[in-house]
Amino acid sequence: MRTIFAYLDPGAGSILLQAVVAGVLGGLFAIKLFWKRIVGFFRGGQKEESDTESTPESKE
Amino acid sequence: MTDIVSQPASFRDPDGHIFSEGGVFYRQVNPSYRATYDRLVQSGLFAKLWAEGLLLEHEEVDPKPGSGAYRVLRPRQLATITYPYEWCFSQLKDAALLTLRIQRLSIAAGFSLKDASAYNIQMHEGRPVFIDTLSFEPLAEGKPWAAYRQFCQHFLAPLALMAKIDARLSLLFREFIDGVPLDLASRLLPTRTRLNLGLLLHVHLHAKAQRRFVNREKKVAAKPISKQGLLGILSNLESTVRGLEWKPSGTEWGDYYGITNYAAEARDDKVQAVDAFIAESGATSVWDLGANDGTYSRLAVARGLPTVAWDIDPVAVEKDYRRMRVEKTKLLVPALVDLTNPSPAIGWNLEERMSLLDRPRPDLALALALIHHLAIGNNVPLERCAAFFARIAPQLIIEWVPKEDSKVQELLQNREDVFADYATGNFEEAFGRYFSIMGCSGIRGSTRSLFRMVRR
Repeated sequence: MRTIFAYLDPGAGSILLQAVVAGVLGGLFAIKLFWKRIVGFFRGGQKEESDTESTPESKE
Repeated sequence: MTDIVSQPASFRDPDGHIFSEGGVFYRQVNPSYRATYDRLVQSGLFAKLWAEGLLLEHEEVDPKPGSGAYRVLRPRQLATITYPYEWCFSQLKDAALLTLRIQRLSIAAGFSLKDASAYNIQMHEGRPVFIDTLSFEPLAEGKPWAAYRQFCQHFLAPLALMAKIDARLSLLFREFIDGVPLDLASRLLPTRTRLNLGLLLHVHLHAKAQRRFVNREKKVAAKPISKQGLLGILSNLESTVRGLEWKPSGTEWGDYYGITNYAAEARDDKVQAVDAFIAESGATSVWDLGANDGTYSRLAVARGLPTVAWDIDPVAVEKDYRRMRVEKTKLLVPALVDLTNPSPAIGWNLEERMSLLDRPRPDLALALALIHHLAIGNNVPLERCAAFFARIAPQLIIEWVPKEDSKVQELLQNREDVFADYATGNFEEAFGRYFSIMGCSGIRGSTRSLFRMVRR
């Protein structure tokens, strides 16, 4: 039996959409990670997070 | 005996709620959340989120006997409260990226966010921070993210509308208490946004999916979603949000301090005069009304005073915020407000989100280069302006802009001058009914003058 702990209504359409896109986006994500490893290998290791201007500030 | 007051917006989650006692805010953790709370603490997720400055820190305090609480948390108290409809584009974007980052870290630790509301975030010490400490639930294998819909409505849709159409569409937050409905966003967004994979999936198709599966009798049974699938969705949401850019162009005010009627000498004189008055006031917190790019707000900040820089122009607030981010200013919060139509109380029972005047208010208000916009630009009689400022704070520093000033002349150039009462004598008299005038400073090289006032 499914149990959802959240008090929020996830929305039936939203649940189904996630199931549909998870496959595609999960696959793209795996490719992205794989690509980063290849590039990282050639560049001799680089930062895990991409730091663009709009990264939320983190404590440093 | 100090009052224990339940916070009116905090009622949806049965696992806990916020209350205040003696003016201090606490978060009660109910027994229903006990197992999850203990797991959270043990997993080190709180510690990790605190270390990265993502979650508002808290300490545990003893629950009162008979309160029924499992734990009581005393979070760091916020200097001010602002809402998503008062944020500029980048504030909302940073809040979105913060939410996604927290979700990613949660998944890695075996948890997931129960909700992804923009109201889970407040500006604190110079950046957006997540304040809903009890929003974590154990990650359930194969289940979709329950907060996905809410993320799209609270963050993705409004950001897309602001970036692709107009920044003022953030005001839709005031009308729609649970973020922008996806069907509305889908209709409003230009057709070319369907060429953007993220917007196509998470807004356009999402809206269609919602419409299609409404009012179905059977419970939805979707195939299980792997952790990789969840992370893939998050990753795509993140790149979609990052890809949304808003480049503010010059509006009426955007280039304000480039094109003012202030010569350098007058400007320096005004800076010194305002700074001196701020020091004299002994205030411990400030609201700068009509702050524009926050130049004068920073005088208060330099004196260690928490300051909110309110302005009507999204461009000005955006510039102020970006500058604040770069300079890592901790005491400043830039925010949007139209003083002639400020944020009202909204939500359930008209109590969930406070009106502007119900927020914790400052000791001191700055009203620089503002009075002529209210009295002439908006036809508000001087006495009503005074009454309004008196509601905001017990002290006021106000710049009187006489009719001869070139900016006033600009406001009057295409209209009839019906403002017989707009004169220095009347100004002092009208404000004198609400305030005592403690000091007055002319500004060298300008017809304007600066007043320091204390509410009667």
